[in-house]
Amino acid sequence: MLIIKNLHATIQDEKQKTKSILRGINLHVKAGEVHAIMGPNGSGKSTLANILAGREDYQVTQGEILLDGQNIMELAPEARATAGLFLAFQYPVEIPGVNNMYFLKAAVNSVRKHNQLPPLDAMDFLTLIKSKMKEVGMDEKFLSRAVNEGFSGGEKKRNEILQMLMLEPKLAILDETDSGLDIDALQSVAKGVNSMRDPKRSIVVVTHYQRLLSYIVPDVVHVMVKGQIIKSGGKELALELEEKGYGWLNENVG
Amino acid sequence: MSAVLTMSTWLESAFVSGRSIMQPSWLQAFREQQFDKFLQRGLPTRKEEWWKYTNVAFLEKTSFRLPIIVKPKKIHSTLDSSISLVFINGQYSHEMSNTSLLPSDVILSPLSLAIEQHEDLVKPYLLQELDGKKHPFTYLNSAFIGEGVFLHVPENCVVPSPIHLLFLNTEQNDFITYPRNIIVAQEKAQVTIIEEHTANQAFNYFTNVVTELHAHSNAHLSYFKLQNEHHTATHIANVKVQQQQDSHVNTFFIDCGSRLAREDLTIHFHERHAECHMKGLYLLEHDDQHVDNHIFVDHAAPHCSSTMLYKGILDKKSQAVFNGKVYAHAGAKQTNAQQSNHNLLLSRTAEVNTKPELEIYEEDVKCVHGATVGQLNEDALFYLRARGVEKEEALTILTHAFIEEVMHNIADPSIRNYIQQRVRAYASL
Repeated sequence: MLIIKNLHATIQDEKQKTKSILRGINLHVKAGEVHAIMGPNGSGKSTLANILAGREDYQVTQGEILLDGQNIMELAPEARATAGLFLAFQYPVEIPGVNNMYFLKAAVNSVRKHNQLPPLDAMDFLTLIKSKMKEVGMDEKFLSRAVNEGFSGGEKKRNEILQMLMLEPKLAILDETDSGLDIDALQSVAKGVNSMRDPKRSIVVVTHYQRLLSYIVPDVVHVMVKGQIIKSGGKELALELEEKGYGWLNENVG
Repeated sequence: MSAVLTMSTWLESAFVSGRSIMQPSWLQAFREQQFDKFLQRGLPTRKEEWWKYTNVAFLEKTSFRLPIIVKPKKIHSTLDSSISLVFINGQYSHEMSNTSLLPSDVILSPLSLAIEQHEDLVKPYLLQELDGKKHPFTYLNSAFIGEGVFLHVPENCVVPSPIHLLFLNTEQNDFITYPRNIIVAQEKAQVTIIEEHTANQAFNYFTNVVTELHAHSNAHLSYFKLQNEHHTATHIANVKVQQQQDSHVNTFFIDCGSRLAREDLTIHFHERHAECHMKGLYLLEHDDQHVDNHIFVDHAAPHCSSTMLYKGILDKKSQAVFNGKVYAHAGAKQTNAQQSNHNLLLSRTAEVNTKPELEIYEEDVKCVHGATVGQLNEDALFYLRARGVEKEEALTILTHAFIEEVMHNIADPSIRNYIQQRVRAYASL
């Protein structure tokens, strides 16, 4: 599903100095698998998630990203989305003046158009979205609000998961979706994600803590430090990290 | 090659040749007096505070002709209106106008005809001294009064649909028109007016328009001004609103055309409990495009309230000027005034000069003002795109979101539709 080959990326910092963030990432996520990418702050996890979604603030200097065999490096963010890639944002953006339902409908119908499906009419859309909102424990009143405007941290994250359920991506990347969530919100977010598990779909969970992985149990856990994946293993690796922290791994990084 | 004429030379010859023996003598005298006043006053310069950011010196070196009369095959307006008066290059077109749905006691006619048929009614409005010193183009307009609209809505009369005044400039270049509109809503009358200026195959022309609105007590008057002139045109307008007790006026200015547009709007509250809500939207897309909104709200009576909400989106090297001034006289107790101006810059080279101003001589007032200039939220753009929304569509969505506040409460669907089309055309560039 997702193959990343020797990915290098840099960013210009405030002083216009070039800083290397990703230093040769290799990753292979097969269809049906859930992978977790863990690592300390500043290791490049979120950068990787954003580069996958097509954010242009970074310069990719080397490497390849293949989604379902297709090189997506040259694709615009919207083309990646319609090709089936979904990023649940760490910090969902508030967009005053844009109605949440209007936004969700525009998104769903863009993806449908790409898949040569007719747009959903208002009634079908409403029925569908109401059932999905129930799944993530979101009040219907959020439909008539502006996108994320004045939403609490938990409501924003539920809104991300709602979008994922509506768009049914092939590859979902969850960037620190657990940050700022109380236990109730964490459970309903996890429930939403787990309902998406499917032999034809891959999920990449980017997280700092093991906590979320008790609810979304991964097949593979990767540890990312200083822009490189330095260790991969099964779900037990997450527990080991929880116990020992990241310090003991740093010795392995040059 | 002919020598460059100075403004007063070409004006003088146009003024002499434009004189008509059909006009009553009082009008001839008025026009001559106004012409002299303009020549004495001269064009405004940037040394004057009221004209600081808008340079009209180029008019000194530009020669405009009076237009010839043309008959276009079709008119171009996206507005669907049942009552309309149409002017082609400043001349009234009877064939293209439609007044059949007008209530029978309403007078709606070209100004020249109104002077002929309702001289006593029109004369006092026409001879009112306007603010030519501040806005000398008004002297010029009075001197050349060509054509325009006279609308008189009698007491208690409710005009059922908006009245569309269409000024179409077409098939000619380098000409000048001087439309003059007088709109009177008598006690408890209700009316909506749309004044639209647009062009089709006309370049480098100059519209110098003056519109006077009179809202008598308890009248409800809505005025929409749609300026969509050709992007080589000059559009200079002066709109004066006179409000009596308990009158209620809404104004909405949308400016998307012209190379240089200057919109002056003055609200005079003469009596208590009058209300005026002003909104504006400017959408600029050309390198040398310049739109200037100057608004003056004269709170001369107590218990009046005014709100002002103007928003602008600027691209390329365009420039916008906003100056909104609220003046509260001593004794204008319980004045309530709000002003805000928000700008969205789509390029690094666009420029905004914004200045909300308050001048207050009364303690018992509530006045607030604010202005912002900002850029498009790149994070919001990426967020929409990351959900599969095409970049163009995302820009359109964000542009609509920015102006949503201004669009709020526009009840008439044809006007809403018109504005949305303009915004869509703008955002999809």
